[in-house]
Amino acid sequence: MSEDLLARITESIVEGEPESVVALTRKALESGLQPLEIINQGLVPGVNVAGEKFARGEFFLPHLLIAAKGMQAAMELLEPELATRQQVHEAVGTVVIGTVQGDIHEIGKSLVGTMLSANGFKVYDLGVDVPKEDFVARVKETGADLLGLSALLTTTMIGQREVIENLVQAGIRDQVKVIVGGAPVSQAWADEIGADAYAENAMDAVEVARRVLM
Amino acid sequence: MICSDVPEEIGDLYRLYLALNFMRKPIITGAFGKETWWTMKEMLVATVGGEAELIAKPVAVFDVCPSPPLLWSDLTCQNLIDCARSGIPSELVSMPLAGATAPVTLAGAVVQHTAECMSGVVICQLTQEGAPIVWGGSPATFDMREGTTPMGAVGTWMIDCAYTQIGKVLGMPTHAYLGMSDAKIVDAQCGLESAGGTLLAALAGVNMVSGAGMMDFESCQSHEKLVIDAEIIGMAKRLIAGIEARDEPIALTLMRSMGHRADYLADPHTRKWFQEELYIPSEVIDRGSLDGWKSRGAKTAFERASDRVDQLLKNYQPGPVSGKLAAELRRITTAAAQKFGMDELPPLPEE
Repeated sequence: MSEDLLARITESIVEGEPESVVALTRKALESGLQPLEIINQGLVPGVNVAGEKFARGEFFLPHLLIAAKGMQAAMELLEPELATRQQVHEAVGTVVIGTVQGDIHEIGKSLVGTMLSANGFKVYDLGVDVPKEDFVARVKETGADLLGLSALLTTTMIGQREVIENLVQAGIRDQVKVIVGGAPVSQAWADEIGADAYAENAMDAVEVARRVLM
Repeated sequence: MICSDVPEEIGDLYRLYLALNFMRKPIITGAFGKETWWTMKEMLVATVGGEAELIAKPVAVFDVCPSPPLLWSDLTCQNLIDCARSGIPSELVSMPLAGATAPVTLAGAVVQHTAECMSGVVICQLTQEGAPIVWGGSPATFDMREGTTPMGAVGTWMIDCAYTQIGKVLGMPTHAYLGMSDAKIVDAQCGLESAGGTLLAALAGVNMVSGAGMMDFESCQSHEKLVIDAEIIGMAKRLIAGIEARDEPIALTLMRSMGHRADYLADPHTRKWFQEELYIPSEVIDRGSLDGWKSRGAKTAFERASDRVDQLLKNYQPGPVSGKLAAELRRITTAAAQKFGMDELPPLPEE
């Protein structure tokens, strides 16, 4: 019975039905399942299946994003439950992301944030046009393992270098791994500015983030 | 075009400086700042000799882009207002991304484009009634695998053509970004995307088309692609010139006198009309025999284009920019550069 519920939760993540995900999650809680079980055996498998289907060319970005939405909706229900039971959902890592100062492009950055979140990272998305000081402050405040910097213009990508310099000046460069991305960004640029990694797109970002934390 | 040999803060006016020194055709430009817009205006005024002269005969059109969905940024709104006040043409470049910043349904994307451009027209005309304005855009469909914005997608072209129809119904001059490719090299994808977009632009009657030479979405300008695009544009222009009943009409007298003799090649009628009737490509387009092609080095389109680029550059004669104007443009641009830590401008190519 509980396996059935968990399987149905997985299915509704994959099918892209956030409302069903929430309803089934509620049912699962009522039936006595633990939040961590629901997450690890219901929600996460669903997100993984969606990721695999995307890699095979069966799923596209809209499918991934709706799957992620389902996960997020369920987590909103489960987080208070975890707190009440004094349990913790161990995040794979903590990430601060944002688009650098002077740049208002956000689609790619938000996609990355969503995919990281759906794959178990705790994500603090600072939005767009983020001053370098804010990146540094948030990394300090959250103790983030990863800092993701997005830039879509050749004129604003310089900001990625400046944020890294600021991390150095603040004495915390070695406490966080910096991943850069965006249309004009490349591995060569990442190397030039001293970033730890370059991610080409949202799915790549998840792989890169995992690899960089190993 | 972003020049990385000058401070970022003067990127916009520096490329205008280069254009004004070498280009004799109308310039499409844009400002990256509110203050640099004024420096660019100063350069334009210097080029034609006065503000009234600039209004009478525009030299450049400024692109102004709303931020989808349905927003104007402070910068671009200010640029639009300043253009309107100065009688400088502005080109509204709304860029809905179907499925990302606009509905994925093409009709929805076109409606968003209309709303954004309409708002731009309102801002412009309320600032200065009658200020020149172009109904333009740079929409795209959103690639659902890569998360990129393909300019070579047929859906992109369809949104462009549809909003052009709307612009024409409204009586506006129209613009679109067409004739570009998402290819990273000048290959078959590059050719087919550039040709598809350019020919559609011609058929849709777009008045100003941006895109020749652009590839890798909009991030690369290729000389080789530019000369190949010149061929496509040549064909497109021939296409919209149409079929005319040339000669009295339709060369009936000639056909009657020829009868069954296939002797048109030698006839004066052919010699008189062939250059107008046929689009004659440069050697970039290969129409020789297989052996002929081999004997000329079996070159690819890219290689032939590359040769043509070399030839054009070698034979290029810059049109005269008066010493006085060149000095004035240099003075204005150098002053701007010095504000951002550059004492001397990079030398101009001919120097």
